Amino acid sequence: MKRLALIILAAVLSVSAFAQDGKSIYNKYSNEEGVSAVYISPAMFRLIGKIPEIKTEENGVDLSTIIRSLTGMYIISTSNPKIREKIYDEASRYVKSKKYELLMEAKDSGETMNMYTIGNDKIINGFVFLAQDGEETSFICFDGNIDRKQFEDTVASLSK
Amino acid sequence: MGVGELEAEALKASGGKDFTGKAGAEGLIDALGKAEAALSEEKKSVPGKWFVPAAVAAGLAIVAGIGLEWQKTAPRDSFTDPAAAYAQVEMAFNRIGDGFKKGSEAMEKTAEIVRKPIEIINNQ
Repeated sequence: MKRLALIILAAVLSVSAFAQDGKSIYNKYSNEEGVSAVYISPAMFRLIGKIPEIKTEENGVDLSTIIRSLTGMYIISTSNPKIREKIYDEASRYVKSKKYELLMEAKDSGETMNMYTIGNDKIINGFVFLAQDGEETSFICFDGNIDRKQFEDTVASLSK
Repeated sequence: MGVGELEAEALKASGGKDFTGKAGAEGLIDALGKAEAALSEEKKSVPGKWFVPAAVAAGLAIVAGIGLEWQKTAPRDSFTDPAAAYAQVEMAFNRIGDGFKKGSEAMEKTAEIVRKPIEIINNQ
């Protein structure tokens, strides 16, 4: 019986390890205390892209094409010390397991910021932004079929 | 199982005794009872062999099923208003842009550190 319980426990742990992705991280932590969580579905992205009165320009940067190519976005942000590290570790494991490519890493005054993409030279199929400072952990993850050049140009323009 | 076969089984179980007459009939019943008991004993012992692996397999299947179902569960949209959703996307992209800026600044600092010694070497 003890052996059986151990086997089932091992199975639970392996399934939870296997289940890591943007959605599972979101599902796991979105209802925790002190977590602000946002999910935007593919249907909502289609809706945003179709409604003409929505101004899809930020700082003179047109986000409309990128928005149309997104199929889902998960945002998790927390300052809850009990789960900050857990989210960071799980997101880090997720990008490693899915073989995301590191796009940029920056460390400044105790803050660590990493950006990862998955796809090919022309198309980004997934993007992960993971930032952690002494007080807060932020995880932004989105999927889609995004033109890599356009995405990088847009992000570079937004950073000016 | 036919009557003939039952008789043969009983004969086997009795070790070849004859079951003619009343005593014989009782003996036959007794032998049949023994045969039935032996069969049910055999049946009882069979589950012991497969019960543990079957239970483990069933447990794993349940756990895997729950895990996969949990993974499939689509979260609910945080917004019903596309404008509010867009505002959130915009904020996310601004955050990414800020991160990109910090990364670029760090790269520029590093490039500056590398450039200076090269300039000194080239000027000598």
